[in-house]
Amino acid sequence: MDWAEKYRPMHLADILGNGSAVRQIVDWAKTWTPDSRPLLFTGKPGIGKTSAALALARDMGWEVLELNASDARTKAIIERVAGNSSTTTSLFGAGRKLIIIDEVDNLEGNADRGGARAIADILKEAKQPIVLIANDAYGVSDSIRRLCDPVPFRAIGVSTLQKRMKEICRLEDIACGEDALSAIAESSAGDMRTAVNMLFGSSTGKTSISAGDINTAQKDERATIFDLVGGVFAGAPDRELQKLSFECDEKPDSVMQWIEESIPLMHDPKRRIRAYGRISRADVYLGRTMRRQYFTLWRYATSMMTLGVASENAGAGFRTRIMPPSRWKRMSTAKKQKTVRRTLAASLAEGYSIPESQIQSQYLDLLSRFAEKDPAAFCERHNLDVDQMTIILHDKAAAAAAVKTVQQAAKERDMKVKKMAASKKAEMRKLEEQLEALRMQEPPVPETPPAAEELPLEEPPDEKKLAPKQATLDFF
Amino acid sequence: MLKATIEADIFRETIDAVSALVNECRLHVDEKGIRTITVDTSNVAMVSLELSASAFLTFAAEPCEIGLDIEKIRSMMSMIGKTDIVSLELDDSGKKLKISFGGYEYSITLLDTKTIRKDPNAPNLNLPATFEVPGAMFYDAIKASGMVSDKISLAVSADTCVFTMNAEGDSDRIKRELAGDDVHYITCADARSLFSLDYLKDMGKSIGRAEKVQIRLGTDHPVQFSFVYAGGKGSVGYLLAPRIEAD
Repeated sequence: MDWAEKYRPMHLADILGNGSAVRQIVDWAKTWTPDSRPLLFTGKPGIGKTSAALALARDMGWEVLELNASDARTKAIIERVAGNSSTTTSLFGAGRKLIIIDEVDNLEGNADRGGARAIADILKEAKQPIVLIANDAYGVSDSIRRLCDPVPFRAIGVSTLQKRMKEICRLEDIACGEDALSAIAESSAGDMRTAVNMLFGSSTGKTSISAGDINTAQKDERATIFDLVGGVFAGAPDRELQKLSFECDEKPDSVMQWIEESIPLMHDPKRRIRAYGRISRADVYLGRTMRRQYFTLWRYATSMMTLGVASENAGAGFRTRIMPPSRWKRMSTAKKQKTVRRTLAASLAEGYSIPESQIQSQYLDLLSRFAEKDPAAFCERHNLDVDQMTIILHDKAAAAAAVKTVQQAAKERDMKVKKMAASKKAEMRKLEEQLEALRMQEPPVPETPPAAEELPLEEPPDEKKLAPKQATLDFF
Repeated sequence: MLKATIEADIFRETIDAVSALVNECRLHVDEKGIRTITVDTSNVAMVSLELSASAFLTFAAEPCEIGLDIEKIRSMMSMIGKTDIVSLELDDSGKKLKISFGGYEYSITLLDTKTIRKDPNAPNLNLPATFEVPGAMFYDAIKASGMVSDKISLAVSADTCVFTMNAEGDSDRIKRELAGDDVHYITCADARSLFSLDYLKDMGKSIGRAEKVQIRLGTDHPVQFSFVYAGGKGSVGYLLAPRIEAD
């Protein structure tokens, strides 16, 4: 058995690091009611998210139902498996069932079409505890994320990793040098599974491991964009830069934007100008590649942007703080802003029966006067969220306050309705019981048993005849 | 080792009973016959089936486990004639099952039993009400209920000894009461649980063919159905977890 599986933590107490996440999970489980919100575990691969979910079920004595990315997760399957499971009790007498939906950020594939929607529906209806797991919280569709409480998991510290691996080595009876362990711990970057797999891989067929044995396991590691950009500005040798750019999984146009982002940090203005020259030359090649669909040109573009910029910086290498291209951020904020505006205009258009385009061009100012008068009422009438209210009110705090008031009111109303429904039901039940009791008492003569039997027998006949008749008509 | 022949009808009922809930199962074979017990993917329903060696026309076996892809067998069912004799033979490697009928020879690759989930332990449930109803009558009521709702409540009243099936939809309701000669009580006690009709419909096809089905019911507890087929030489048990009621 591979070690990652063999040494999977069995109990929540065995989960390394992530103390606050584990505490949050335990609190949630101990106080769980059908009204509790599901949890969303997020964090890098291999740091114990799935293990924590499984350990939770074991510690609580709950049954587990897992839905992995390896199962096809179409709408129908999710509804059948998770949907049925989350509304039924356990078959085996366990108190509850924990439903674990793994890799919810991976739902967008073709095979999973409609899956996100189905999961959101199930979360709303569920009567059993549910844990969702994702690597990237923002890869999870909004409709799902909104229904969950997030539990962030963090990468595991090097010393913690090392301690655990020492333990494993002891259990497996393998002599392992400190240097080897720290090499593994460093290169696994807080990923426990990778670390244990690396240890397993380098120890197969051996009884002792030294740092030299570790390399084999790193062979197919990929370079990151950070290595590449760092190399360009630190003045790495050409050969190494070429290797890095070959191993890096980014497309040349995004690599170029990453490099461009750091050029303003170069000290010498003349070098800066020349570096921009190289970038612009690389861009010309990129343009030609696309226009002619002749991808051999990519290599010139790549060389120009990496080797070219590096050579302009020759001798003045520095370590820069590498940032993602700021234009990405600007573009995504702009896009978000546009969507918010559009949805806002759509809700207002519906509310006032004015075309969206006119709302956007003429009425927004006027309507924001309305909104300022009574933000909460305005917000409720048009069912707006914080971002939309911010646009209308030009004031983030006021917008948040208004939305909060509305939500509070809705919650109270909900509770009231629930309470009323419950009391109504109780009343009905009481009435029925009284009726039943009356019926039983009616014939006070000792002939009670036959009379009691007669009564319900008399009623059913017409219904009894009706039901099969309907069934036969429809089915035969 | 397994070498057996069986009537097509019994074979079909065996496959139908299991395929109602699962796509694959682990078949235990020994001198006494075959048996399987398995839970559906969502852990909501369980099926157990036993077919004794005497139900086969010929039967020779040594103890072994077979991983069957039920879905594959079910899809070739239509090729088998009503009166055919089906012969089953496990090849020496134990990786293929040869199914022959009416001139066809179908060799099906078996699943590695390690890849099939572990057999569940049949839970020990305390279900107070035990009674028997005609299978067809039960299945008709299930089919009818499917028209108005996706769930149904099964209830027994200790006072009147009436077995009530009640399906309430958003707007419509179907109620079916069984009493008198239609129900034979072994123990009559108060019980009421709510179930998903999806599952009952799947199970119902097999139940509907049984002359009598024994139902064991509790309050907010799983329901157990058991019935025999193949002239009493085979037995099927279903277990279904109840729905959690809305409030």
